[in-house]
Amino acid sequence: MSHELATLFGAGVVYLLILFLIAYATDQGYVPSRWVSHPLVYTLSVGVYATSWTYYGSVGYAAHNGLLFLTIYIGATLAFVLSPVLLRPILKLSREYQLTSLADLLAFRYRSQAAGVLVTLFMLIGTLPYIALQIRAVTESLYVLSNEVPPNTIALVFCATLILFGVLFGTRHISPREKHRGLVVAIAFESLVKLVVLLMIGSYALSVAFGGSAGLDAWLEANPQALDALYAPVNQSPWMALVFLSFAAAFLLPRQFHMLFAENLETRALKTATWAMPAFLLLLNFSIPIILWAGQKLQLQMNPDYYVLGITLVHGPSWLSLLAFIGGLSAASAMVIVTSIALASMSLNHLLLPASYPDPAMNLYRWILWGRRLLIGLIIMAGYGFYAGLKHSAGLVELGLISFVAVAQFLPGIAGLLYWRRATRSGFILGLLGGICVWSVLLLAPLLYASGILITDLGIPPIVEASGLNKWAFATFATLTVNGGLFILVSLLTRQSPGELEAARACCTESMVTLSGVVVAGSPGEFRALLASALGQEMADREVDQALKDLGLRANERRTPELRRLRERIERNLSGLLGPQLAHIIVNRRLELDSEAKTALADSLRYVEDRLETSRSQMQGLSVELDNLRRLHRQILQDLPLGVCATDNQGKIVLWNLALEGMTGVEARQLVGSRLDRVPRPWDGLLGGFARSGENHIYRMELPVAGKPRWYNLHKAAYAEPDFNDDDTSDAKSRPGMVMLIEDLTDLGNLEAELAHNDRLASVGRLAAGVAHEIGNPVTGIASLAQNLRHEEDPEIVRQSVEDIIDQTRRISTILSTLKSFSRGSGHLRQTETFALHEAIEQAVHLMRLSHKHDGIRFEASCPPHIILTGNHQQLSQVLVNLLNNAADASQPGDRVDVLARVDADEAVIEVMDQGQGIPEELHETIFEPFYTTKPTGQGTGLGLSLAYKIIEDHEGTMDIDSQAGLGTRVIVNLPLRKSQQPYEPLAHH
Amino acid sequence: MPPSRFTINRESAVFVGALLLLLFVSPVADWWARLDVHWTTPYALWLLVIVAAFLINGRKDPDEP
Repeated sequence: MSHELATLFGAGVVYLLILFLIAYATDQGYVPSRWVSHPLVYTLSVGVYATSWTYYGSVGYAAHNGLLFLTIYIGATLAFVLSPVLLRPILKLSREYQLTSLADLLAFRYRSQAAGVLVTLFMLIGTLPYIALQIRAVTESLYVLSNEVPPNTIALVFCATLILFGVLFGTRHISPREKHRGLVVAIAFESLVKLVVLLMIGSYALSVAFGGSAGLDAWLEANPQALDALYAPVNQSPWMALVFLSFAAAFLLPRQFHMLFAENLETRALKTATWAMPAFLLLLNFSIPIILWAGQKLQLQMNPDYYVLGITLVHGPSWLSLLAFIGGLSAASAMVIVTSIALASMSLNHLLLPASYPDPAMNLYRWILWGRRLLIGLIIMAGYGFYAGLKHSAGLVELGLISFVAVAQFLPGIAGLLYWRRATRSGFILGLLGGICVWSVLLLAPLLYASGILITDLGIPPIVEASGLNKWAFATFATLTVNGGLFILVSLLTRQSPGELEAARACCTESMVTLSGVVVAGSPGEFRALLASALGQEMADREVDQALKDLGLRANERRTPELRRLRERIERNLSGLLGPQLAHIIVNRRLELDSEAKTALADSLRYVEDRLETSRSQMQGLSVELDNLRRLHRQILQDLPLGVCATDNQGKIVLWNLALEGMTGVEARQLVGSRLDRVPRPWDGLLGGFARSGENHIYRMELPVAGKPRWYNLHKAAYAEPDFNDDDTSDAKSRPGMVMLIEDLTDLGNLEAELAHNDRLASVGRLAAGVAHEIGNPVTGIASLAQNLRHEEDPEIVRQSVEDIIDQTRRISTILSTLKSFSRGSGHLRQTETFALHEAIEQAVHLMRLSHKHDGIRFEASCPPHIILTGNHQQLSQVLVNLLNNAADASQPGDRVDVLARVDADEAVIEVMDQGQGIPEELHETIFEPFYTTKPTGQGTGLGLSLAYKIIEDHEGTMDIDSQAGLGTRVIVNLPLRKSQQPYEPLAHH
Repeated sequence: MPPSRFTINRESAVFVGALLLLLFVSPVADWWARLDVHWTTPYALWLLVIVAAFLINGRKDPDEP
């Protein structure tokens, strides 16, 4: 059974159309984003590793070399399981520095355009046979299925379609930060197709040839030589070499590097690929022995390379053989598309741009875009030329392995990049050149000789035979020995340039270096102007804007460390467009650094902290502990409920904590690295002024914030900086840094005011009750006198009672006047007069006796008549009444209350004593406070004693309490005696 | 001092890599190839390596979001 060539061609066109549709739908957003970024889609896209070599060639290779075909996937498995030490560091580097290809990576590490050129050229030479292999696989599969020699136009149409696909979906974005999602999904789909089809063919082969797995086992038992042939090459000479070659190819081949690192959408996807990719390869290869043995059993008369197709042709339905063809087409097309895109990017960055840098006046973006498109076309057509020029003598695997050995030449350079900082540019270039020479002699020359391009094989085959090693083992050993030997030897003999050293440190992230130098340009505007001469104004503007956006900086940024970071970011972004070396040269020449300028602590701190954040996972041992300690200290300062602002010895802000962000509304990232005068108003004046002042503490500093006054306590202290830059011998080193603490008192003040207000409200209530209490006593007296008067007929008693009533009303008036004075808080004596103390005492006692409230209490007064005082008679009477009232309240019926007066030196001493329960000592101080009372609620206001105390104070006297619980109370009042010799006249009403 | 999670992951990865080399590029490979084993034996050993890789990658890395 065979197919019409037109049918196969039509099926191929339909399949490629589907591929276009998938890529288009993804780019247009019709495919859900979570599917596109799913780790399994990433894994399948990395499955571009399996090309037509795997699809067709593995069966042929297994036919001649047994299990040796599996080494190509065992080596790849090794590369993926070693992902944490191998692939992840490269992924981090390529993402961080926008490196899109192996040439970018090596040119970045060895700071050499020559390295980039050499890698690109060698990659092109080494990969072209591989592209030719894919084209050949497609045309040969057409021949196998149709029994017709396909015209060259079919290969040309195939190539043209792939060019179109690559141009449409592989160059949609020129910046590596934007991934080609359509391409990724399309390539993942191709991997899925080849896997499913190969599994289907394997199942079909098992069924049609053996009737199931039991039949296969029976056949193997009957044909033990098949199994012997399978196992024979295990651990023979090429076994280890092929494992090693495929290990290198799994991540160094251009298509692998492109899908693994350049088109990686999510870092975590690589983690899934660590096991999922080997699982994919296992599934893909599981059918290979079955198809081989099925072909042998069915005695297919064809090259075993095409048993995959042959099996389906024997008894299978026509759709199965069409599917088999589509599977092969998918394997070949995916490889050619991705390889051409990857090689185009490398060629543009390392061959075309350095050779003919375009005039900055033209649109550089467009130039790059069309340059890549052109290169994709050229590379695929060069592969076609290689296919057309080569005789079909070499097997599919032969061509692939030549590329594998070529790619393995980059391993020493990669090892140096990741793990040997001492490796030098000269060592890498000379080692690579040595490896290329040996590779050309051992592998390329015999291939060209076999194709008739060279007239001699240089006598190599006899040498290889004499070695006793397999061709591939010998080539691997010889090339890498020369390459690695030269690499190590020359690296040890030569020295690194400063740029190379910096790049080597960047690649080995364990080492942390601070930024040195200050950008001469002082603002993003100057960056634009300087870059425009190399990039053109439009590109310069876009790149500066993009870098500002990436870093979250403002267009008017002027801080030195931020401008340094901006410069670094621009270089990285340009690296993704122009290649690392060209970007480095442009940025170095246009945005010059003043390397003499000292780097402030603020600048170094910010940079080091940024680096620590991005490289924390690389830390080990003590550095992790130190970093934890650093984070703890920083977090303590950040979370401190006081505003903290620290400046370095150059006056630049190094710390601006969260509390201060809250107070000022200014984020730390806007200020760290700036001087205090860059702090927005009104804080610049407050902090700048405080920093300059000689005061270390300022209390309750008022500052209008947003139109409202706020109050702050400020404290500051000087601190000695650590020796951050050991080479810094400037005066700045001797100057201390400063830390300022800002305490916001406004809320506390507001709380105090609110409490005071509440207290005042409560006082008003207490005062009202107190007033009622104070006035209540004389009113009660008046009421009693008035009641007595109703029945009293004796005119003398009536007159006396009226006098008493008038007295009491006067007292009420005096109380009110005293309260007014008390409420104003400025007590002073009014209406001073000279009076005899005994009159006031008797008046008070008399008043108490009138009150029926204290009927059972005996009031006794003893006062010499010669004690004369100067003051307010009414007020002092009120004091005595209050004291007597309290004493009576504390007494039981039958108790006695004494009032004794005497002269002590120049003072009159009045003692009011009761026999009540006494006052505990701890209350002696508090009972004079206004509104404090020990009486039950409603029976005392707490104002009586405080009023009395205040009146005595107004009379320049003192009042003390002598009391013990259970032994009664003695209130001692000391009043100064009359100072003048003014004669005393008894009060008229007495 | 306990090793960091990153160190553990790296060490585990190297361990799985060593396991692969032991099974496929060492005298152990000679041994199983000489025995009269089923044709799926290399695939079973390969699967063992994949399972080991799967298990060590179940751990969360410190730099993962």
